[in-house]
Amino acid sequence: MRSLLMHAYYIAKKDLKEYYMKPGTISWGLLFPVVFTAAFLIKRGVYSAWVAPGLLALSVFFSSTSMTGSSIVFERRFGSFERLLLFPMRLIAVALGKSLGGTLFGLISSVISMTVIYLMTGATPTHPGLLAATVILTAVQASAFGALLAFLVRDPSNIMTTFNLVRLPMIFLSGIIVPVTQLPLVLKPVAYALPLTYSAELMRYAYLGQSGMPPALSATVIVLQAVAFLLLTDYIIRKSIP
Amino acid sequence: MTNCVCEVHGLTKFYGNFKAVDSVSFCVREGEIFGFLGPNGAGKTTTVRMLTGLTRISGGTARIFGYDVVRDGRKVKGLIGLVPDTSNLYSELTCWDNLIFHGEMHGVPRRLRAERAEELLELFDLRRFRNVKFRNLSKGLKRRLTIAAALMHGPKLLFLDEPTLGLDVLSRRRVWGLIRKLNREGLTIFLTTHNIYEAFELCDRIAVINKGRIVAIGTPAELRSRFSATRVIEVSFSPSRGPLRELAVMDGVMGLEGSGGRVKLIVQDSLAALEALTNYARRHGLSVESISLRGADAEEVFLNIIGGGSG
Ligand SMILES: Nc1ncnc2c1ncn2[C@@H]1O[C@H](COP(=O)(O)OP(=O)(O)OP(=O)(O)O)[C@@H](O)[C@H]1O
Ligand SMILES: [Mg+2]
Repeated sequence: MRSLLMHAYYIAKKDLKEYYMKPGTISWGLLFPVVFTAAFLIKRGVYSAWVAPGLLALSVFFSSTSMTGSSIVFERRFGSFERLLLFPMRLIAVALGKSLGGTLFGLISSVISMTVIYLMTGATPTHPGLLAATVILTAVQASAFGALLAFLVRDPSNIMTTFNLVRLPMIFLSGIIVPVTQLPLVLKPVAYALPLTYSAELMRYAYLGQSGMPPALSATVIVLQAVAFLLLTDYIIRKSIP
Repeated sequence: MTNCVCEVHGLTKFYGNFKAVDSVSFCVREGEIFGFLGPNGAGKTTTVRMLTGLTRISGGTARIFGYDVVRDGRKVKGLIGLVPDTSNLYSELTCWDNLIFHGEMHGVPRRLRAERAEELLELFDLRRFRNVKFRNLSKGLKRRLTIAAALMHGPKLLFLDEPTLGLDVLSRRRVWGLIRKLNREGLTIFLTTHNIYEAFELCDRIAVINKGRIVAIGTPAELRSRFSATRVIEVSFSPSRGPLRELAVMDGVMGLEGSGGRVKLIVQDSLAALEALTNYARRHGLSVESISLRGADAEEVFLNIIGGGSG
């Protein structure tokens, strides 16, 4: 177990060293979330208190997925991904390590977004401990989701385009800008299938002390999704060995 | 057979219905440089990938230092190093970081990691490039660092897949020198190549593989002597037209190259071949412009073994 975590940690450390400066990671993993967050908080009055937690969830989601996405797509394209299979470790260390890299990057971005939110709205969380836990859970879940998504993309030059095809609609469907309850009836099932919906709800609870969904339910779904995405990623990695 | 560090029996690989490796068996002895020589698509890389756990095995068994490569995969991975056919280290990491990462992943203790990395940079003459990103290295330097990375954990058996592919003469000599040096220090090496000279130059024993099957195995001297009776006849006819197909099926002809007037025949029984050639020329009303007979060189021996060059 300890060696598994060490391997995951070394992979994550390497990924951060390699990819945090990539244009895709910088622009979509850091700049976009911060700019988007700031844009939606300018002169919004009471709405800003409601929208801020969702924007934090969004930031973590974009950062984490950008990071795992880049690290997997680039390495698969240039053949270095296979090298991970040569180390004497359990194979699941690959899925864990890749997701851990995205998780750490998501945490960095969350600090930036929380600062922006605080400076622009003065909002502080009602449940700081829960907020920290939610940020971490969201980062893990989003990273694993990004890892899964990465296996559908072959060409690194259009990875962010492909990712955004999935991510941008999620902004409008996951109760970040518009509450899920106000979505047209046909879109509601979609909203409840998306990972970001539950992070946004739980963040809202952590900030405001209330949300449209019981916090225990959101937390459970996030954890289950994180585990499912990780296991699926591991499964795809195993299947991809010719 | 007692000191086989890598013992392979009936190893087979199917890609769908296509048999890329067809029941190969061999033994790599401790301390030797074992060569896997074959043309493009022969199944060299596939074999190496099966032995190192990068590809699943369809049939047969392989043991490395007594451990089954499938069942005890993790144990095996700690004892071997692989230099794949492309230099695929992490492009955005520096030379130093690449080496350290490999040490970390192999569980080399921190102090020892730095020491090893330092030694390897020195040995491979890469100290000046310590802080250069892998992607900015030249092809030859990339190759060297890829070999160095495979040595970070002190493997007992090193797999080198086409170690000098695409290198210039100087870089190639350099890599050859390093391979010899590592071997002298006790490292067992499994090397694949399609370059006959490289195999004959470096290897203690060579397995020749073609279309997924091992067609010959032995020391370079053994392989040469096995085909020492092989001769090459080069002949020019005029006029330069004739049904060459007929030549290919003549008695004693192992291989045939060329077109029109100039023909190169690889033959086992040179007397029978000369006689057949004379008959052929008479039959088609051709006159012989020039003819020469000589021993086969390494390349022709190789073509002869794999049965290439015909048709
Ligand atoms: N992943 C794959 N899927 C399908 N066929 C494959 C795959 N990998 C290799 N092959 C086929 O298997 C055969 C053996 O390939 P392999 O790469 O082992 O040859 P090689 O001896 O290493 O040749 P080269 O000198 O080109 O490197 C080839 O015909 C190749 O096309
Ligand atoms: Mg090959």
